[in-house]
Amino acid sequence: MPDARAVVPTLKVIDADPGADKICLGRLLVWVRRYTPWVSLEPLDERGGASLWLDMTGCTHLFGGEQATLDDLAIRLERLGFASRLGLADTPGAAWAAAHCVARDIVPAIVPEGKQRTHLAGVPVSALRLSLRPLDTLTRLGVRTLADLFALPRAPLTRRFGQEVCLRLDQLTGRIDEPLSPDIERLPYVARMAFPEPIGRTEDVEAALRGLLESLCHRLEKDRKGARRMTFELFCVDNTSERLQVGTGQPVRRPEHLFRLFREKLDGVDAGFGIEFFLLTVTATDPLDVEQEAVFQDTTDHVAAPVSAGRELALLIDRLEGRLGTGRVLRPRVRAVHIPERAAGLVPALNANKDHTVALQDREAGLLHSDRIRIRPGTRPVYLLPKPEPINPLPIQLDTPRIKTVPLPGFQWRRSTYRLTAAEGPERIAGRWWQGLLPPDRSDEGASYFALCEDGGAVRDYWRVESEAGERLWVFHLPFPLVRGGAQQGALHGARSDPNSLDRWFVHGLFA
Amino acid sequence: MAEVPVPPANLKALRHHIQAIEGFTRTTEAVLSLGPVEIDQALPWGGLPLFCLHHVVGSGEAFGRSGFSPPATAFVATLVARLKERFKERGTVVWCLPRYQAADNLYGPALAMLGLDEKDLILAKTKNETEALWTMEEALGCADVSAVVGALAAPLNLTAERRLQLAAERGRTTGFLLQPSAAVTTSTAAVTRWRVGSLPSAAPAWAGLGRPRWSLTLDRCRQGNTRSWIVEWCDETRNLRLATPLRHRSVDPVAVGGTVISLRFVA
Repeated sequence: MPDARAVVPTLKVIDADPGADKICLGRLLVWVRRYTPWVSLEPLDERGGASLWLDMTGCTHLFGGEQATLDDLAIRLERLGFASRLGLADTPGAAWAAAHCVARDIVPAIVPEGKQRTHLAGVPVSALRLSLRPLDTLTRLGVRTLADLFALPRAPLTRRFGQEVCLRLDQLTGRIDEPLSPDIERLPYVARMAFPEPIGRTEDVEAALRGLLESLCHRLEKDRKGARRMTFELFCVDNTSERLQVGTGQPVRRPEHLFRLFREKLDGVDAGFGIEFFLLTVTATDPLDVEQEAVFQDTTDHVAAPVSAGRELALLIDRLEGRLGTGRVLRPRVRAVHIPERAAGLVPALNANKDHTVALQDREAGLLHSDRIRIRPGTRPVYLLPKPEPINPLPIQLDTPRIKTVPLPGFQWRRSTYRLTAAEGPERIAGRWWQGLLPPDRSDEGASYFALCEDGGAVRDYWRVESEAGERLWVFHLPFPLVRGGAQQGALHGARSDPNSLDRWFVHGLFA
Repeated sequence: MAEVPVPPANLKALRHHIQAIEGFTRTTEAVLSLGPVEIDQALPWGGLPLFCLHHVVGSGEAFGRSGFSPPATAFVATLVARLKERFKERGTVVWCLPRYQAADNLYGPALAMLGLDEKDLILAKTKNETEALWTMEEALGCADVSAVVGALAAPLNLTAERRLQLAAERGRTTGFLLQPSAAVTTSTAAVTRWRVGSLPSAAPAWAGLGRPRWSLTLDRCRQGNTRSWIVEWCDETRNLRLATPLRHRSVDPVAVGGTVISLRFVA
């Protein structure tokens, strides 16, 4: 490299990027389909070269003959910014040799039909696509061109180099056929439908959609795929377009189901002056094996066992999610966390297949799932308030009965008065001491109680209490003064500003 | 007026005929036991009929008339949990909630204690009544769903209830309408209507709270009579059972403490 720099001071150095090269070649491969459908790509070899093969049989006349085709290809490639070397011959081997040596003016770019031996005689043996070892040996033996090689008897060649040299020679001359394995085109899952007259009736749109879905699902079935996301575009006469998108929780290729997903959204579509073009695209697919479609009829008279349990449910979730909106269809998740409001969570039902994530998180947090079994049944409320709500305890009167068994005689909450007759507790639920105290920015005055409750940072004493009428509530009070913001000063400040903080009670849940 | 004796066979045929007109014919095959034999026997089907719509409302003023009463919620949850166990493979329960009610209000760990595991439950938050009804109808028609609960704040009209009833019959699922007491209308297309309220529990032998006690009223029952019971929910066995109406909290246990204890010994 320093030597090279010494010769050419303005030398630019760019690292080789085989990955990007491969992607680029792949795109080029798609592009050259304009000449012939039968194309394939020779992958990058150890020397960093790659070739594109085009089987032009029967195609050149479309571009005005062989020479015109090559010229056209060269010009277009140049416009795209590629330097190219092109060769055209009867066999892939000869074409390869021609393309690789055409710059040296020893061969024509186009080798005439059946003239490989004569026209390629002057080509060096390196044009035979040999591996390095035999090539090296041949060069040392003084076999430099194909003419030299043609002159040698075949039997000693085979004995010396194995099959390779003779095979490549035969492939060059056409004695052995070398088929190209074409890169099969992966067509995107797109279906379209155009109308001579614009349509606007819902029934027509539905019928068209059904047709498109059926054709796409048929193709998906062939490829053993299922759709995960689909887009349905409607192009109107007045140059506006509507786009409907649906997603599914599992790969689906049942037209009926997909149709129902779309139908929920069709109501909001304004056809305007009419729709003249439909485009249905599957934007994401997942593999889906052959499934037995459930029989829809005949379910009224007996409980039909579903073919695969949960399949219908997945479809139902798709439909609900499609209509209600994302994040509206949920599954509850119970977590092994001792802080009540953190123990329950919700996950979207659409992604609930990843069953283990929550358990995994808990395990990472050092919590065992068995912990939650230790909570005695009946000690958690059916409804948990999203936020603990402060209550006003009734003053303790001397004649209040059974003051020893209830923590407070009664309280007012949500404009009702509850007089307590029985209670059970306290159940102390400590904060997460390992997470430290409240972050300083949240230690503001009024909201600190709620912030603490939300963060589970406070020690709480929970009581299950029962009122005269039999209503059961989950109330708690904070037994300790709060230490806020991690500073003792904050604690003092808090105590001064709110002297009753010790006596403050909250409702957190409703029992059955 | 001369009394015409009706042969029992004719009466039975007539009942069947009326049932057929009502479009409520298949429910007698499958019933769900509520727990106590007395309640099951009070129902004309020998249990809670499946594949139809049931109406559960809160009673009284508990936690305000517009909110969903916790006893009613728990009652529905216990029924749904039993249903889920009965239809093992298709055991999922869809629970429709109005969107304004934060769905995490319904507390998962408590539902799990009532027998409704989180993996069997799907919550759907709906914006309005139309969406809720649509969701319920879709869920009732799903082959993997055993029960659908619709928590609806507003009263439904008869047509909507009828639609749900038909959807339940068609889909071989059971629907429960959970409504606050304020939303009760006089007529309903549901097969039964239950009113669940909380009652003061009996003081246990140990300190603390006794088993939750509910007043369970069969408010409306097609082909049956209305009845009322006092039941207790046992958390350990997950069972409803009739509370022994021996004594009431109105007698202050402190004042007669000694007597009560001796009574208990006798009992």
